[in-house]
Amino acid sequence: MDQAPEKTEAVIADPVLAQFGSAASWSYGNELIVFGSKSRDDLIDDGTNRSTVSPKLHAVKWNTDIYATNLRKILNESHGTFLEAQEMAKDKQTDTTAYLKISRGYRSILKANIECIRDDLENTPAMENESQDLRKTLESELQMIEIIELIWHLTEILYLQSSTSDCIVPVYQNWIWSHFQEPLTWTQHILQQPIPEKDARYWDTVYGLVLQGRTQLVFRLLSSHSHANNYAFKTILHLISIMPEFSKSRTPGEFDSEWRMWKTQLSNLISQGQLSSCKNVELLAKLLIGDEETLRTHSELCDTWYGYLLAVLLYKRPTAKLIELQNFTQECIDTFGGETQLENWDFILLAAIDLDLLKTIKLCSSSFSNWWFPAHLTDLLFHTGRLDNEKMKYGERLREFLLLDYASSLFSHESLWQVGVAYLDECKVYGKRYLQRLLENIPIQSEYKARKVLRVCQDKGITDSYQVICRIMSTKSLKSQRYSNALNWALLCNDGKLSALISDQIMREYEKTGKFTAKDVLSNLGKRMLLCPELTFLGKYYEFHELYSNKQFGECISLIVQLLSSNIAPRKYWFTLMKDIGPVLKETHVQSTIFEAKQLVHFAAELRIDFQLQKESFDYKRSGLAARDIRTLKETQKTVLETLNTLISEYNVRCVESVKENTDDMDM
Amino acid sequence: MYTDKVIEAEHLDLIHDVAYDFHGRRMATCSSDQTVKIWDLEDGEWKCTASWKTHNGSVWRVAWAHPEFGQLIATCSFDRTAAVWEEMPGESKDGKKSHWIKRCSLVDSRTSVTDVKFAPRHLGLQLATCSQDGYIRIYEAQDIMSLGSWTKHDDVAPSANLSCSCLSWSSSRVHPPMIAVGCYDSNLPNQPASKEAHVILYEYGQGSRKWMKVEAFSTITETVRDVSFAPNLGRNYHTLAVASKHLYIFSIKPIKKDSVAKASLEVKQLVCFEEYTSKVWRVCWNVTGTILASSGEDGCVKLWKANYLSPWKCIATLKGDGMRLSSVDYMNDHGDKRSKSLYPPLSKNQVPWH
Repeated sequence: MDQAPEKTEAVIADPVLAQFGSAASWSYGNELIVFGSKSRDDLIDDGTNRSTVSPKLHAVKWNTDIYATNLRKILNESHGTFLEAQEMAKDKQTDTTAYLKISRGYRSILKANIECIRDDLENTPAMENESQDLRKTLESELQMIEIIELIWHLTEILYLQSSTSDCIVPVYQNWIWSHFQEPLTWTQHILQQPIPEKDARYWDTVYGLVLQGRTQLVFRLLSSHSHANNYAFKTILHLISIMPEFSKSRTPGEFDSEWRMWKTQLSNLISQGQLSSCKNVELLAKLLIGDEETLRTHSELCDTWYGYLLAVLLYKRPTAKLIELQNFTQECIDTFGGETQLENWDFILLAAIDLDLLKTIKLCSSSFSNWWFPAHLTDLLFHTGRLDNEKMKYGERLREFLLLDYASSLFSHESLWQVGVAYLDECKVYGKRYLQRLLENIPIQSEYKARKVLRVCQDKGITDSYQVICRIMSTKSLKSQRYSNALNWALLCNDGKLSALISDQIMREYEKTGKFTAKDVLSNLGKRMLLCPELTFLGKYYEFHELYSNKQFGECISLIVQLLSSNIAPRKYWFTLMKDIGPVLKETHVQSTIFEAKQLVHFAAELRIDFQLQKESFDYKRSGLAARDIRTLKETQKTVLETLNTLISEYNVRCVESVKENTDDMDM
Repeated sequence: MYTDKVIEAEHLDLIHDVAYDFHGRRMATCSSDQTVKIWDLEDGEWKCTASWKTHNGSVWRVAWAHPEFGQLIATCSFDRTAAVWEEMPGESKDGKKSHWIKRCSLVDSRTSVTDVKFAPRHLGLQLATCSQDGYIRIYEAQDIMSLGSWTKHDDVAPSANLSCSCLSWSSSRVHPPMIAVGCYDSNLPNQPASKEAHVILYEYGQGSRKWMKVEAFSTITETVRDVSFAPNLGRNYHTLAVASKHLYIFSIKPIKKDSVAKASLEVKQLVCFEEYTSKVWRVCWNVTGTILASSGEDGCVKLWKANYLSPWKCIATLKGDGMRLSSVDYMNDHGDKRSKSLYPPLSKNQVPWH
């Protein structure tokens, strides 16, 4: 059943590949890196296998259609139409005419773009060298979209517009008319000449019109001939004017018998030699009666086998039904040189005419370098119920399969991924999992883009991807020492472990430089402070700094004692914390309870033990410093501890005395 | 339609591995010239942003960690070590935007380390190495700020007669952690090859906290050069591709038995492409696990896809052809790095595959 080849071979020109062998790695979208390599079995002795050619990497891409500007426009515009179709399906709409409207919607998007590209082509100078490439690109895009529209239109008339018992010829004629207008253009051109028949294309145009069944124009052209009053002309003009036309008011049977009578009349005239005075007119008459030999010799005027099919239908079987169409295709293809002359899209049209939907879709998938066409067409046909019949009960799976591939292809594009999200929504089985995977993989170059992706995660309830993206952003900031930002992202996804790491870094930086970063985040922590002990401490520690700068020294001391005694402050930070208390203690007017003062003495003693044992705050091994620096550090720390000791003792005395004074006062 | 963009790799010897990062915007290459190069995609062009000597021998494989853990790569080499490298942002002396520093050397192997892979994200910062001595080793770092110390969790060896060539982690989140290992005969070539299974599956026992051998693929007794689990998009089975004498694809479905506590596996060989006449070296999957790329001795890259109706089949072949490259063309390739189309779109008699 598959006449068209399914495989493609592409050649990568690289001697290393051929000399040794190849290897490949996948990128994110449709991209592979291919490079020449060697099996390691052969590399027993290291270093003696040098290749003589410098190795290259080949970034091989495919399905690149979506990067074409014009197709991209179509992808964006058709999105709305797609959603409209889904809405209709949800409302249990089964009326084919409703979907016919959708189909026409898709086609009008295609047609608008075809016009657009034509305009662009006209505005691109043909001569200049630099515009040559652009012209080539535009031309190939134009060709592709035109072919898509051609195929779409045919499937529309075959599957949406007609039922199998309808007479197909008028709709088929419509299809050909809207896509092959050359005879029309020529007619206009010829009619503008002073003597029309002098134009070299006069008769070919007449025959071309006849083959498309445009009898009114044939009539006009013949009337414009200067011999129009001759007998042969007059006769044929009369016969054309009374040629029976198919219309809905008549039954096919009535029309058929009328047409046969008319044909007999014309045949008689030819055999009696009444038209022989003008060979061209006689030939014209032979076309009209469907003379096989004459039709065949003029088939080229139809351009294509499917154009010729119209001529065959018109003059041999004007009442043909949809299912009869396939009986005539072989004859037409043979006339046009047989199957070997067919292009890929010919096979698609053929499959459509054969009413083999599955094959049509398959070929659409393999012939175009994009998933847009097969996915949208299949979706539409699925909703009309055309995909599921006796023979084929896989419509839903096929539709999801194609939509998944289409949506995935959108995700490899910078901005189209947002369109892809809507399509994955329609994939009931795998959509959500694909979305999760694809969202996580989106390259995020900016915070703006991250927020955009996060919004989608939230909308679709994909918590996992939400967290992954936050963590990626947080880690990135953490590694560039932008702690405030890092903490923000970590808080956004409630990641305790990460928040702890970042808090730790903020403390370390403070210990090193005396600078407190991330103030903006810390001042607004609220409940989130409880996410991890490190953050709780950091939040409290930030409060301490605020109190200090507001000169609320008493509260400062209470807070520090509270932090130390409640185990909120990790022991590794004790030194920093106690060091900070020094300046507070120096403020002579500051006092607190004796209990707090005693606590300070206790913690200072603990800290001295840590110092002696080189533990926690004094774990120099972890600092990665050189031995000399450690010595200096030790000296400084020792001085700090001694000063602190003195300060705490003094403070203690002060507190005790003040308490005494107070009690003395009370005694008096 | 295919386009082929040629990138001068600037390596002085054969490239052994190319790894994309999670987003496909960076890649790392490693080579017999003992260096690793990092490439960044800038305005649609791959630019080499870092290059440094990583080992004292051929560098076999390079792997990226999930970006959640930072910009980390792991390398393994003929020099019997594996190493973890981290990119540090900030201007370096030579004016580059970042520089890479070695965080850790993993020196447990006594022989060439043949493969290194990071565990899937949900398992944390773990990595596995395998080596010629037949051992698979699993390491873990405590957190992203202490990359200097990796604790060895476990080491296992499939068989005394086999060396390990490659490994792959299953990305499934619904099943216990799983690793597939590919092997080759460590015996000398003139000795008879063992008929042991060359692909082994290990599963992490949540209770025992050990990696246990759960399956051996007895149908594969030839040298295995690559194994790769397909990305698991919530499917209830694992899909494993194996590159050996032929190309194989397996489905591995865990089955829960009510009576027995231990779950067992149902392994099905989906395909074995015997039409592959030459040895297969590498297998890799696309992001969604729908297309498999295989490559090997014949210089071709083949793409395989399972359809909604038909089973796996080859949908495209990229052929490496040295004959086409005359010296003149070669010069042109140097000068003109613009992408060139291998085929014009929809040209006559040409069917671009999908």
